[in-house]
Parts: sequence; C-alpha cells; structure tokens
Amino acid sequence: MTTSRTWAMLWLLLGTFIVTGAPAFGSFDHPTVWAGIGDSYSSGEGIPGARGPCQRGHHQGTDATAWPVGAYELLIDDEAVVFQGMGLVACTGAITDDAEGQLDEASDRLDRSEFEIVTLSFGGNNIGFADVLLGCLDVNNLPWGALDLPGGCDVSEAEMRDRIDMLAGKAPIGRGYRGSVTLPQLYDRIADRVPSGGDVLVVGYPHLVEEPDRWPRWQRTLLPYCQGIQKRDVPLIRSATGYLNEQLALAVEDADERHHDEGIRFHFLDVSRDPYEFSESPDDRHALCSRDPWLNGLTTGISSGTLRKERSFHPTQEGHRNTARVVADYFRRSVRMDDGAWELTPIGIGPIALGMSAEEVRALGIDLRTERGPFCDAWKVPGVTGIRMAAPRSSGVLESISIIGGRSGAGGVVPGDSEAELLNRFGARLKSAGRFPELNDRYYRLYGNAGETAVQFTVDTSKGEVAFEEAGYVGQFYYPDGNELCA
Amino acid sequence: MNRTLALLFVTAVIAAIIGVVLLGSGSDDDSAGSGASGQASKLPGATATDAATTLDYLEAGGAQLLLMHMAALELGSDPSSDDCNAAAERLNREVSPEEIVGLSAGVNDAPLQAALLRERDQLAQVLAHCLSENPGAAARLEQVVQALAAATDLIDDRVDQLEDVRG
Repeated sequence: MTTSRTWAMLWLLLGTFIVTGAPAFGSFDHPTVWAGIGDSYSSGEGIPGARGPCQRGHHQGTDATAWPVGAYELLIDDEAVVFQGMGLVACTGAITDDAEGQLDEASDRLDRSEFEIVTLSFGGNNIGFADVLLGCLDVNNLPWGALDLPGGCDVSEAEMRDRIDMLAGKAPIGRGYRGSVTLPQLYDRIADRVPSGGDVLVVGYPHLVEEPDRWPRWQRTLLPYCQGIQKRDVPLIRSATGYLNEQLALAVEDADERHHDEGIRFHFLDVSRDPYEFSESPDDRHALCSRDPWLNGLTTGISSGTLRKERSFHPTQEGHRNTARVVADYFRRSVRMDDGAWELTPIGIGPIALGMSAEEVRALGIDLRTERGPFCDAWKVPGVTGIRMAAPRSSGVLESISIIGGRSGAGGVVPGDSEAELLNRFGARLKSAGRFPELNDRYYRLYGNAGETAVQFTVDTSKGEVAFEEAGYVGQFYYPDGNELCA
Repeated sequence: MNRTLALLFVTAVIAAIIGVVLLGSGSDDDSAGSGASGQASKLPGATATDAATTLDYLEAGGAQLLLMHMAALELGSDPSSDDCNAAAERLNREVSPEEIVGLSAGVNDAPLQAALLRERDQLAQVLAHCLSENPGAAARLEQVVQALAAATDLIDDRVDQLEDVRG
C-alpha cells in the first residue's frame, strides 16, 4: 500500500472517529490527585462558612467553596480527567516554609506521596502584606494621642520591593521578611512531590483597591478613603501587588525551565487581571471601591463587633467562584494533564490501558461505546473527546490510542508543540522516521523506556509544529512502518 | 399666535436644558441632597432601609462611634491642652483607635463609614499635636483642628441625610 493510500485510509477512518471538542484527559497509570496548598487566598478565608483554624472553604456543611475546590469541581464535571480526589490543605497565615507540611497533610489525607496537580498561592505572608495593610489602617494598638503621624501606610514602596526581592531569592533575606524559603526553593521542593507529567499552577494575588481615579466622585474628592485605606496609599498597595505578581511569574517561568525535562510543568495565573480586572470597563473590575467588589472590605465579627483582621481584604465567595472558573479554563486551555506520561507502560488513558478488552474496560465502570469499522472497533467514552481508540477485531483489545488535535498529548508531546523545542528537549531520544514531502510533513517517533510503546507524530513543516500524534504499542501504528492497524 | 407658540417653545427648551444641567451635575454618583447641607449634598443617596440599618447600628452596636464623635465635636474649636488631655483620657478608657476601625466596619453606609474613619484620623492628629511638646506641632494645631471640624460637620450632615431618608 502506498503512503498516500495509507493516509487516505487513515483519514477515512478518522472521518468515522473524529468528535468535536477539545480533549483533556489523564494518561497516568493511576487517577489524578490534586493538592491545593497555599495561604488564605487559596484556603478560602473571607468566604462565609470557611471553617477551622485554617479557614478552609471546602463545604463541610456550608456552601463555602474556595477556588481550588471550585476549579476541581468544574473539571470533574465537564472533563474526562479521572480524578481520585483533591485535598485542600491551604491555610490562613501560611508562608513558603509551610508548603512541605501542607503537602505532607495532603499525602496523609489522599494516601499518595505525589500529586499530579498542585495549585498554590504563597508569598503574601512572607512579605508581611497583612501587617502592611493594618499599618495603612493604623490598626496598631496605640492609644489616642500617640497615633502615628501623618497616618496611613508605614512602609515605603522601596521596602516592599526589597521584601519581594527576598521572596524571589534576588536579595538576601533580612528585615521585614518572614520565613527562610524563597520562591525557587519552594518550587523545587514542590517539584520533588510531583511525578513526571504533573503540573504546578501558581496563582497570583488580586489588587485589593481600585485605582482612585476610578472611584466614585464623592470618594475621590470629598472622602478619599476606601475601606479605611487612604487614597494616597493606594498606589503603594497596587504597585506592591503588581511587583509581587511580576516576580511570582518570573520565578514560575524559571521553575518551568528547571523542571521541564523531568516532565513537570509550572504555570502562573495572574488573577489580578483575569478575573479581577479583566478590562477597563467598570463591569469587569472587582477590587474594593469598584462598582462590584469581589473582596471583603473592613469586616467585623457579629458577636464581638471588633475588626476581623483576617477576613478583611480577602476575596468573597464571588471572587473565589470566578477564580475557580478562570483556573478551570486555564487547565482546559493550557495544562497538559498527560504530558510526561512517557514512563507509563502500557500506555493508556486514565484507567484504560492498552491490551484491555471492551469487557475489561466496562468492568471498571466506564461507559464505553464501540463503533464497528471495516477492520477495527472504535472505542468512545462519553466526555472524552479528541481521542481515537482502536481495537482490531483480530485481537479484540485496545491496541492504538491516537490524539487527533487540541490540547492533549502523550509523552510530553502535544499537537501545536514546536518542532525545534521538542528536538532540544528530547535530543537523541527523538527518532526521525522519515518525511512525506507530498504531505508537507516530517515524522518522528519517541520510544518508551522498555521500547514496547511509542508516541509518534507528524510535524507540519510549514509551521514547524506538531500536527498529528498517536500513541500505542510499537508496530501498531498506522504509518509508516507498514503495520497499518485497521487498514 | 405663532410668535407666542414659538416663545413658549423656546422657553420650554431653555427650561429643559437647565433641568438637564441641574440633574446632570449630580448624576455622577447618584447624589441625593435631600435635607443635606454643604458638601454632604455631593454624597450619594441611600435607601430608607439602608438608612434605618445604619442609624439603628449607631444607636446600638456602634454606639461607641458616637463617643468618638462627641470628643471630636468638643475639640473641633480652639481646644486647650486640658481639653485634649481630658478627651484623650476618656477616649482611651472607652474606645481605642483600633476599635474605631472595627466599629466603622459595621457601618453599612459607605460615605458615613469613610467619614468616621477620616474623623478618627483627624481626631488623632489633633490630640497628637495638642499633646505634643514640640513647638512645631503646636503651630500646626489650628490647621488640624479646622480639618477635624470639617470632618465632624460632614458626619452630622450625613446623619441628617440618613434621618431624612428614613423618615
């Protein structure tokens, strides 16, 4: 059979199997586990019903839903990743030094030493942001007559930047900094607890107060206060938050560079933009003193009537709900749930492994549908899109899994990846397997450790990007080695 | 007849323009100046329910805010050092600056909350300047006292507004 005929057959078959929608699936050899570590901005403090000394919003008899829990629920509802569970172990007041303890807690709770997904927000408490805010409010236990003058924030912008540089590991740790673990150290320690193929998502901090120029006129001119924060202090607070997010993003980028080859990806999500200040439109802005704030202002205890320093200036349930939405969207769009699953032998999708029969898959409780083709059965699982699973009638077991576009891949390769980057990443492991000039493609194969499984893919030479990919047992691919499964 | 109609039409247009200008001048923040005087007329309106909630709070849980306000009124006009000492002593016995922040958080009327926090800051400045032995501080006392007086006036006006709305 000629190559073009092979392709013709392939596309004929694909015509039968392609389903619309973008794929997202886990191809770990066990279900995915998610650890939600971090500080109060991850734990859910600020949401009515957040409980316990850590102020965690994970239901427990209330509707309180912190963003990690909300994002997890969105993903299990509409994606095909097979989750074993998630542990929200973030805690109010936590600093970077507490991360390992939180991961231990997640291990105990989930009975797993490693986590395919780790989400977090850390750093705000290291730089003493809460105390800085209390200083801005002059909440400092001083008596009348001794209140510091002229009032307002007690630290300078330069001092805040110094502390953030300490956090980022760019300056020696010194005065004003809490803890000893810098961001690079934190991310490396987290990477030790993430298997190849796992993802770490770092979430930044929202701006607390809207830009004063956008405040209502009476507040700009007559009473220049926003929840006790003086107008003149807002630039300092916004600038510090912006610089913190900038340094978090850079540290995440560096961590991704360091751990990319291990198959661990680091991601940063700047929530100060999306969802909190998505555009210039007042409808899309949600800091305090905006039209529709998603943060608590000054908050008092119902019984005591005293200021609840902790809950104040933390996101409301609406803030968490929208952050959850953005995080879930980010996972769907950008995170490869299955990258680096290379070591898996036999390769599979979630709980489905190569070599399984349809009966065995159904015995796992999976709603497997089969479609009869000329030589093979095509397998489909409702909700799992963009994946083609083929079981030749001769064997009756799953022998090929193909990824037919979108956001997912196997072995750390995803359609859309740059050819140059893959060559750089995999080096000699990436085997060139020919070229098809008439199709404007180059063709590569990446073998698994035992040599029994492989991922192969074509590169669209006009773009230099991965165009089509499939994974399976060596010898069971469509092309170009002559073993044309299903043809 | 035609000239009369034309005159009437022009008069109506001018009246409409004046009306739009007057309404527009307060439209930025839904200002409602019912019964308000001075700068308070630039503050946004409140619903009867919100006004009632705020005023009820000031009479119950937030009553200590009024202690601060009373002290501010006393010191809002040429205070002596004896006045300042007495006020500081009384306030420190009754309600701390930190507690004022917590109590203000319970005020659901945003302008009044901001006005109370501003009054706290101005009162603290007056006391600090008044009790200071630094001659420079004493020289600035008059200026901070004026600022405190403006802060207390605005609170009084806002409370009047809320009472008018509550009915």
